[in-house]
Amino acid sequence: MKVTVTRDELLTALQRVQGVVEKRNTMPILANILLEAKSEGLDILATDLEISLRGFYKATVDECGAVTFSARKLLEILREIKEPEIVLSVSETNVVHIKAGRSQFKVMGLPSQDFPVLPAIDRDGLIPVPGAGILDLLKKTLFAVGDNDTRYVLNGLFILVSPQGQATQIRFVGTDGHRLAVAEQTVQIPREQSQAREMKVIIPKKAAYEMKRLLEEDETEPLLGFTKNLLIFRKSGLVLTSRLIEGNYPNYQQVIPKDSPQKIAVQREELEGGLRRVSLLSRDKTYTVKLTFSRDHISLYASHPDIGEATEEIPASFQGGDTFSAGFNAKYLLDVLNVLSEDQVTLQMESPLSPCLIREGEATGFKAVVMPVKV
Amino acid sequence: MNAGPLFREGCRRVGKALSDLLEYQLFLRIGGLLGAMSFPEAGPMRTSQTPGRWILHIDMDAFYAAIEQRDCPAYRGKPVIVGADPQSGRGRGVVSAASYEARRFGIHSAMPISQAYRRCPHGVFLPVRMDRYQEVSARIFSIFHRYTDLVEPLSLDEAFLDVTGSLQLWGTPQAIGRRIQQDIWEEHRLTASVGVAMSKFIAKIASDLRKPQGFVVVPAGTEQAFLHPLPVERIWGVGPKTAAGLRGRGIHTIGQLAQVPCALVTAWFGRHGRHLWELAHGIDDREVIPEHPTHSLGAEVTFDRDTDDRDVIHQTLLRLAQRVGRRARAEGVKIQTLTLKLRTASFHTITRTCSLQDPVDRDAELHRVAQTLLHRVPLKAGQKVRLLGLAGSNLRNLREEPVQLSLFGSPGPAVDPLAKAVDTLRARFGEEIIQPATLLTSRQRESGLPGSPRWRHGV
Repeated sequence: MKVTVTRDELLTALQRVQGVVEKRNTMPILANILLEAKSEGLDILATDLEISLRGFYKATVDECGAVTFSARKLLEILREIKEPEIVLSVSETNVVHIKAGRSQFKVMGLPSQDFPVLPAIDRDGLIPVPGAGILDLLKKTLFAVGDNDTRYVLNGLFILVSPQGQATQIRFVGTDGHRLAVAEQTVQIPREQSQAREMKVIIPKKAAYEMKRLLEEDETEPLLGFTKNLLIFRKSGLVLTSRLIEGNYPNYQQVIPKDSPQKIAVQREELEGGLRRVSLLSRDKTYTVKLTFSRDHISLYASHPDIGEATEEIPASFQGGDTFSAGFNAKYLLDVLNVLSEDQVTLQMESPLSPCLIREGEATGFKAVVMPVKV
Repeated sequence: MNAGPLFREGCRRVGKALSDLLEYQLFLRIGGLLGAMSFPEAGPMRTSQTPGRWILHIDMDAFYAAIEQRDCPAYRGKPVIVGADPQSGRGRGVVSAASYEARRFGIHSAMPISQAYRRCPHGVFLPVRMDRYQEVSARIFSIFHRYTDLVEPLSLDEAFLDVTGSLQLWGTPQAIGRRIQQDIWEEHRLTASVGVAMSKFIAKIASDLRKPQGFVVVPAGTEQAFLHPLPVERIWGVGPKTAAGLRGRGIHTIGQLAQVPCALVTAWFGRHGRHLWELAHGIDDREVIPEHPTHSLGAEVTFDRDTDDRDVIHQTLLRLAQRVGRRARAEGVKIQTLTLKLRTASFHTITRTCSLQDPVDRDAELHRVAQTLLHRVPLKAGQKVRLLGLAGSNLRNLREEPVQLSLFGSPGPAVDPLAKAVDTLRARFGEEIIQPATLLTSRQRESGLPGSPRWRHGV
């Protein structure tokens, strides 16, 4: 195998696979990338057996072939190289020669057959989805997805695709059992490509993050699809696949409070700033802040047994209820406020120990629920 | 064979030894020439900078073995060895504690159990009952707390006590030490050795000097006379390697070490050298740091035979999860970070760690996390496992924290009634009284009886 490729093209490829390459060293070969030189260009692939990313890159191929070697070493080399173009060639013993100007590297590789075989996928069944829309759904729900929760389904993002007449509704749900975020959008999908039946899947958090990263690169419209146990996400020459998480997602709709007349409206930035400041004096790890809802303001209070305390009053309008206080993990509230863009947010809460529903002013399509703490 | 590097290494070592020797002899000669003139560092004895501080070091005598002998009169006066199953000399693992009768056969803790068996095949070999020792330890520590709040545990059977603030109430440090010794004997029929001094370092050496039932007081100002005749190994932090390094330079006693200039000891052993030099001078300002809450809890098992049997490994993992879970519940803490330790037959140790979003204390939850950690260990087919361990760290005391409510209801009540019942049963009747069915051997399943894997020889 022998190819000539620009440094920038290869660097882009390597940076893209960084999130996928396995760092936990369960199987040493998963720290590698697979390079496949085909007549029309270079295929670069990484996997951790759960998710995989394949990308196609421009290259002048003198001799086809394939090899697998350390992704990290190649990335480190590329970062230090200043030459615009590099030549990669592989010996019969799988030694990769990297030549860039006056520098030469020889990196030990392994035969490409040693690299795990990935499931074959085809283009059928993929639906075109709006990239910006999906990115927005991801941003608004990913923060709530669990991390290493023992209930493993909570470590994934729930995706619902349901046809609604002419349109298709896409809903993303994330929850870690303490807070929940639901975001949805209605998109138009050409009839011949839309799916007749409803689809419900849970994708690993890592796959969702990779999708988000790829969507943030540029505006190219992606294709999305699911097989029985696989997510497929295609975008400008890249294919991301991920195993789906099996299991039953909890009944999230049941825990979203119904619309109630008891509402608190507040300026988002003011609440956000106040929480940031007051939580500086909250207890470590739990970030507990007490919110007291009064007719025309919310007062925030936090105290740390060893350090001190902080308070702040934020103008707000509270309709239809008596003053009451509830404790919250400030971080959970801030995570929600952070993904919103409207100026005004509304909080709905029945009593100090009931769930708190957070929505954006006029906008629909987003709901967050945060459970309080018992102080 | 290329002997070049070896030869060079050899030359380097010889050269270093020579230069060290010259350095030391030069120092001796200068010392001789200068006679009474003293080096600034090696000047008059500087004891603790904290005036009037009194520290007790209390060390239980053969703690585990003594508890066994107390609990079972048949063992009294016999050599009792607590540790791994000796399996008639083929056993693996080590001695955890040896009674004084057993020590007469040259048996000491950390000795391979097989060797202990060879030395004393008729000894009483007992399994470790850690829960029992912890229970007794907690009671002994409550005695310490009668006399001062400043109790720093070093292990289950050893602690430092700063009694400076208690002197008004209780009199002299000797009186407190005697009372504690007496309380321990009267209430628990166990013996302890006590060291009384003005620093932790000297108190520890003192308690060790006349075991068992030792009581050694080092009055203020006599530290030098006390320390200097002792061999350098007595210094805390001088292991076999450092001791050999010192003896190689002709330094055998603490007194000899104290006479070497500080700069030279530092040149030999780096920063550690400076610390040793200070200790040799009785300089030790370390304070007694009262008990910090538990930082981690763990359990591990060395297999009787290296194994690649998946069933055995998985059953062991479940047992470990149960043990860690039980300890967490007993301490009233939940585990946020879980670490799996696995040692292969070739002594390669692999650890895998996972930080959980929500801390846990239930066996089933811990077991599930432990299993995912085990999955992340790259074990080749047929590769054998020697040891498996599980440890919880980043412990959260949820009783002290506000309760974060859950959206989908918590996975059960705050205290799991099943776990509580099982824990109570085990505390009273032992680990094996109740087991998940997967942990029963097929024979036990047929007979319906839980097994009793205790090893009791020579009774």
